[in-house]
Amino acid sequence: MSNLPSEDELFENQFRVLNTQMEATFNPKMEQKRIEAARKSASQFKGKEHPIFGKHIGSVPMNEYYAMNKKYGVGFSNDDEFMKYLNNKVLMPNGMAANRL
Amino acid sequence: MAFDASFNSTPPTGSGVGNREQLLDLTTVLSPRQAPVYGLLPKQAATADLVEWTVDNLRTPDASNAVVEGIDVGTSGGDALKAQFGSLSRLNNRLQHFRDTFNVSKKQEIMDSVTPVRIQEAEEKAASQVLRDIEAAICSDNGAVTGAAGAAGKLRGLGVWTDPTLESGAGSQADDDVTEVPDAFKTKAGARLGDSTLELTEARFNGMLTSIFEETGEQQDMILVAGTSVRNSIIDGFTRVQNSTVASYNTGNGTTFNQGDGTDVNYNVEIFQGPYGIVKIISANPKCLPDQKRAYLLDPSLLGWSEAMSMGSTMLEDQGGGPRGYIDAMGTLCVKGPNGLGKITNFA
Repeated sequence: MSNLPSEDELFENQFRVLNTQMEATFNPKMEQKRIEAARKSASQFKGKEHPIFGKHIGSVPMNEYYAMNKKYGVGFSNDDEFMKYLNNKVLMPNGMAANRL
Repeated sequence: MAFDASFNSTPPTGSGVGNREQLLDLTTVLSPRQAPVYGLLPKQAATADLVEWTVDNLRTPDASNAVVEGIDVGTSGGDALKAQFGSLSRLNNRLQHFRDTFNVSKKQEIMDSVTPVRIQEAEEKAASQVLRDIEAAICSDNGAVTGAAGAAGKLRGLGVWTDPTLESGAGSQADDDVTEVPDAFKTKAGARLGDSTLELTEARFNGMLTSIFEETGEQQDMILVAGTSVRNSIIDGFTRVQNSTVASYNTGNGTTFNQGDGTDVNYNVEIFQGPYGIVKIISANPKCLPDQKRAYLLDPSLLGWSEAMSMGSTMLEDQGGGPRGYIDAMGTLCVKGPNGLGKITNFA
């Protein structure tokens, strides 16, 4: 008897392997860590401004940003009302933005 | 008096011969796996080796556009009928087929190892590597290559798309088998910062944004994907305390943004609101850029990834040595408006 994986096991495993990155990316257990990193980053910009970019209005973990990109479409962040909602209701209360929009 | 020391282990005798090894299960893959630029690109299907799309623009505004009263269109004294699509142009890029193989011997597949080195893990690692290869190709200075016997087809990277001096017909790029971007759509000189003798100052960076704005005339969905050196210069060097009248370019003011030497990369999207609308800054994967003084100022609506084959895994027949297979993907980069993009390649 060999303990090598069967063809079926290998086939099934392909899906798992290809989704591993996705699972790691959107793993809810990692969400808190990503939020903490975003908070830390946002805190650097409190009381400061960038002469070209202006004021800091959000630090969004890249994974969540891409998820929003996919859900709402490319360019969603150019929608003033959407960004205001995101800043006021999600980012500021969670310490992930240095300024209110 | 001689001790029976642990180093006395010359085979087949010695007190250390029977000592157990300690190998910790702490393997670390210290390489960023992210593909920030690839992740930004809207995806669409590709069905040909040469993927093509069209671009168009508007003519120069005419402040003297005024009609003489009572004169009909196309008559003597009236304005002539014009073809409106004279500047419609076709751009294209070549498909690139990415692939990474993996195999594990039967013996290794059976062995008990602290680091999982079985076929599943090999497959996963190959997938991560192909993703990084795609990201590196997108961010590269590669010219397009038409596939032929003995030559793999390659896509034209962002480095060439955003630098007319690298295109075919323009000089230094020997291999660039796609259409040269018409002058009206080339990335403007002001949007390209590459002088190694000049510092990356606020004025230069501001000029870059202005140059792009003058082309597009609207607030875009601007995203700066930056290497570590650019990121540090722009954020640490530029950011200042509010209401300060003293520019702190040379010393910065302790504002750090995803600082690091390339191994400590924090993938937050920093969102700013200012004169150019909402601008986002993302760390590039440092391993996928030509160098750390590279950055691209992108508008995802002007870009796309044409996918002929999404990333997939194929297991090959085990011919006795052990399980094996490959991961592959095929696609190309679409740039729908190089004149709406910017690039930093070097600074002092």
